[in-house]
Amino acid sequence: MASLCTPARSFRVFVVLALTLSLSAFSLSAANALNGSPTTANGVIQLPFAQIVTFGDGADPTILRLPVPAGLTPVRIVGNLSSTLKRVADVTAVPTPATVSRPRVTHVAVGKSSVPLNASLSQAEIVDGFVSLALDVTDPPDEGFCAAGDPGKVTLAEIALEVSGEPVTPTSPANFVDTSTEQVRVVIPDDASSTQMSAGLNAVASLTAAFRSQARVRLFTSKSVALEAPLSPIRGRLVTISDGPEEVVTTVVTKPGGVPTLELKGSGAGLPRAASALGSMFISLADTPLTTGLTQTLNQVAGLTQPLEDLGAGETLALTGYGKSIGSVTVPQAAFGGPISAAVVNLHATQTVVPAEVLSSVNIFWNDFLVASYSAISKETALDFDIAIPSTRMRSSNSLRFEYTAVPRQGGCTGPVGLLPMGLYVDTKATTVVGQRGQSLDPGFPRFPQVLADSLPVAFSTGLPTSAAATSAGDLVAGLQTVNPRQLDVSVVEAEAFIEDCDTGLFIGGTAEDATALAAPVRLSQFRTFDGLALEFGVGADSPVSVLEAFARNSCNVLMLAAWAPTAQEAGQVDLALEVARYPVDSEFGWSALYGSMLVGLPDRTEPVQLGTKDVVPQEEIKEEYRPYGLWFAVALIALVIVGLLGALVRRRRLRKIRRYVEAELRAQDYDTPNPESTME
Amino acid sequence: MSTLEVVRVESPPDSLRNLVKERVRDGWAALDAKPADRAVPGTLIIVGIAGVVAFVAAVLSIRSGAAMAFGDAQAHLTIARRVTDSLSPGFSQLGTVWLPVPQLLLLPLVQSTTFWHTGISGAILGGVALMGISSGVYRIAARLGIRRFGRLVAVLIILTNSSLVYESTTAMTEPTLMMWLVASVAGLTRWTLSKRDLSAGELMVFAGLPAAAALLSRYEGWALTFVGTLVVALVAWRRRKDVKYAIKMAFAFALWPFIALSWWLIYNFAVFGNPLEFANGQYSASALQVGLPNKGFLLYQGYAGLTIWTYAWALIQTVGIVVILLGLIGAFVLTWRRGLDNHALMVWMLAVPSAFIIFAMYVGQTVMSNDHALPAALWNNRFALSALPFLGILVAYLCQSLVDKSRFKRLGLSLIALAITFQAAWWVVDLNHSAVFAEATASTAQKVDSGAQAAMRYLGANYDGGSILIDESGGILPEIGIPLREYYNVSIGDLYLEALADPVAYVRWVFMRIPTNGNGDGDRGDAIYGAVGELGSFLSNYEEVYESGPFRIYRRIGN
Repeated sequence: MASLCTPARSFRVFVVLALTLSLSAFSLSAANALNGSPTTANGVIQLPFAQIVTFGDGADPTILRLPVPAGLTPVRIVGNLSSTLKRVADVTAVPTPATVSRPRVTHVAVGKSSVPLNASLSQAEIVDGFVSLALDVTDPPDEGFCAAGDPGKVTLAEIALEVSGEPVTPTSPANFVDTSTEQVRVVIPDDASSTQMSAGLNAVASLTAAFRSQARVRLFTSKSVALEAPLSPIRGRLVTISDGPEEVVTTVVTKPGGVPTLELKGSGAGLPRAASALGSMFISLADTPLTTGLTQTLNQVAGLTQPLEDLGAGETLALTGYGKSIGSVTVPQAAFGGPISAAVVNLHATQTVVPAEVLSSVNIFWNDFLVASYSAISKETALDFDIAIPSTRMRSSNSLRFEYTAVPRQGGCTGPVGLLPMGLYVDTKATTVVGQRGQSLDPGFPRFPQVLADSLPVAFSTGLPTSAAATSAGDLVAGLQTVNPRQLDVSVVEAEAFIEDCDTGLFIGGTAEDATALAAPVRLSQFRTFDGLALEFGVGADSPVSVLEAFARNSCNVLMLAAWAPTAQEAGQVDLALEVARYPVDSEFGWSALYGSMLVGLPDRTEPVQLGTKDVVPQEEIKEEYRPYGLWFAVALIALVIVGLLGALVRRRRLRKIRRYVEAELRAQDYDTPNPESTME
Repeated sequence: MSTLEVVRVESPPDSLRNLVKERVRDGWAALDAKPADRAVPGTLIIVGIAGVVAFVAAVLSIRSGAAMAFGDAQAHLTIARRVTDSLSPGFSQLGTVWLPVPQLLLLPLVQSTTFWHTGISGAILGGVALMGISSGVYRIAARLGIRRFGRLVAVLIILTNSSLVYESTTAMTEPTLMMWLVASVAGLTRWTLSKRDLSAGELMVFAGLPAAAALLSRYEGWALTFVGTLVVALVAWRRRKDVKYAIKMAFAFALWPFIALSWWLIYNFAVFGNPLEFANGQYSASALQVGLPNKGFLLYQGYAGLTIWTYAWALIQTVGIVVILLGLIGAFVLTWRRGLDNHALMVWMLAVPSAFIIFAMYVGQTVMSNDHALPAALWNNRFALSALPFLGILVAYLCQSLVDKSRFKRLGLSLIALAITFQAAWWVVDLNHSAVFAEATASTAQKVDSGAQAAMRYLGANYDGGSILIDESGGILPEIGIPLREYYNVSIGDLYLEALADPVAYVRWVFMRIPTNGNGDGDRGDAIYGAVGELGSFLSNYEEVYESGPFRIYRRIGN
């Protein structure tokens, strides 16, 4: 077989999900670092963005998509271009889609040192609240069409969108959050009731579900929010929750120069339901500044059969062209409304006819493990078969990847003139993943969020002050929501009830007593890890520690956030708890990057340390719990001794009885036998 | 008074069928007969049955490769073999990692390369051990006055235990220890309960000698010897109330073990310059266990409850919950009826190895782990098998009690028979119900997944002479199948170090294990890799001919 050449232009990667990501990941990524604060100079507002774009490896042009706040006019996109290419690259930046007859193309020559990018924009180029710029390196090498591409890439950093005008402030819940919103702070009273806490957490869940890749939603109390850096009026939003009438009143208020604020006032069960509606797809109906009776009841039923289209594959998954084409779909267990232990992929696809001059194959991978391979050297155009996915290959979030390869037999990267283009077309409606309900993962973070089955009870204990507990709970809810396909229905329950009823959910501010009652594998006291692992020394002995622990307790799964410290260091443990709670949502890969079952926050570490339960030497408390077995063994031995003594006693008494009987018999015989010396006369 | 004479007219066996019927009848009667002075009728029948079971199990185990699953089993075979087949042969090859008797018994059997390579030698020794255990338990039961039903139940408990039957197809040492344990206690039982006053010489031969063999088989044998000596003294004192007699008998029992122990200490001193090399040397059990607490094991050290919990689950997963519960009831019945009389003492002697194991775990000298332990793993649960003869005799005693004095005799015996049958079926339904088998399965899977098995098979199939440098002294060499004199490894001492320093001059083949990535315990590869793995001079003289996982096989370039 001729060697597969993989020139830059012939290696096409159609990553459906990545395409989705490219539309948003290079705009705002709430899971990553927040963008900088807007600045104004000469009437032009500069909106910085933290992300970095890389392009120029021979793939199709990369699309940079940035949100434009309502009411503002885009002026230009600026940034800094640097290159690792061996030659001077001609970078083109073209606003897309082109809305004028002659597209405005910006050329920039990028050599060894970085150069600025300045691509002008206009109002006409705003589409659905975004402006897009197609970035590409436009001068291919001369070595030939199939030659390997020049290794290297171009990077665009320090991206900023310059806009002019006055931003339009939201006037109703319908337009409260727009494409440019990147921070939402939900504020509850300092002495929030469980209803208000529930409303706050539901607001976090709802807004995160709706704007998961765009806006970072956090929960604060009135006191703690005052300590935060001021929100940008353009990119920030405030949601306040307070006491009010039974019928919830929703008002949008913006003071001049202030941050747009949505006020939810209510009481009773209606308050959390109103908060739950903030991210609803029907929120556009609430288009007046003052709304009453806002509510949403979540009635989500997820089936065990999920079409690829519903899993985010889009209407078509087409892998076409010569070389290797790749398409992938993320299959989270949570999409099935609960954990699944195994699955079957029912594939329905069509391929183009394979000419004799072409070698073609279809390889299907589940989490990078080959599960099906089909050599497409046949006249069959329909692919219709089931692929069993065993439990050993199942993870919390799974990747189903299709690789279609087509190469001419004689080599080269395109077929001879006259050959039909090659392609595999996966029917994303008919192709389904059928889950088998069950649990195949070890207790720990990977079991979440699917074990929640879209419902998240949250309990609060006394281990953290209210403000820290609220913010931590909000961050954990946001972290779980970012990886749960459907909105989580959050409820606040009593800590005692949570422990007694064996709920699956979140336990915030656990104490040492709670950890014992919940039978947590690692208790809230000092512990150490085994040799050669993440922590060289013991922890919790003389400095504060915070732990997010995921464990199974009988049939339920618990996420417990706790912190402790030697006395007089309470502030340290609270800060660590906040750091640990926000790590899953703020880290680069979010909740999916958590493995094991413990996230440990330490004062001398910049990031929490991830551990598994097996990495921790069982603590004294755990070992002491086995003491009763030793006592029972001793009791059994003592019982044996007692039985032995009693038996000996009984035998001795029986022996004495027998002896007395025998003696009596002998005496009686003596009495009956006449004495030869006696006379009876 | 008239005498009724019963004249038995013996009709000649007019058919094979009648002959067989007669033999079966006689055999059935023998199984219920009272023991004579030395002979215990029915012993040979039990030996025959156990032999059949051992043979069938051995065939299945060897053909499936299960006989070589444990690295320790292969190590025992290799140690025995290298006494004669090595670049540095001699009895010093017995080493001190394990006590020597199992290896010495394997010595004649591993002279055949086929027997050594396939594990047949281990199966032969293990089969003999299984026959010895079964017949020993039968004889003990008979001498304790237990009749046929109880005797057969005790034997059945032994022969239907998949853990023990499987182990008896391997070269592991537990069956050997149990054979000597049971033999010693059988001898002690005869001496204790015989109507005739047996001599010290008979005690020495029939009880002391097996105790000596047990002492040099596993460390449980040391506890057996110690306790046995005390028990002999007590029994002798009870018999004659004479201190001198008691001391004489205790000495008679302990003499052979004492000689064996002395020989072992002298051997250690002669070979290693340290009489206690086996206890505190580089390859002693305690030295090999030093790093275990930091890897998460021996957590039960100092915690009685956790020790009992761990051991109990090992017992459940090797002996079975049914046998344990019945044995527990039997223990209470025995204690109620006999207290600590001489009968009971003989039964409790069988519990000494188990008590020793629990004690050794508590003081951190024995590592054991199962899926209920901390941490959950599969390791050394087979140590709990030494309780099987003890529990078997207790269940037999329970049966006899029902026969003797219970109006629920039929019901009770039926229930016991049913329970034992259920327990046997439990092991058969899924062999991995046995922790021993599960550990063997995991060990095999680990060999396959790590690439070790593929590498071993390649070397075995492609080796064409010139010697092999390898940092491996026993756990895989039988499976490779190449005679041990072809190896330069740590067992040959200085010659190995010379070859390590200059492989080109000594070996044509090099078997190496390179470091693995992402291994939290800091794996640095083996000693070969450490010495030559990244040396330019090595790589310019040797070419890599095979790779499997972290295992690499190199062959000298040229010749």
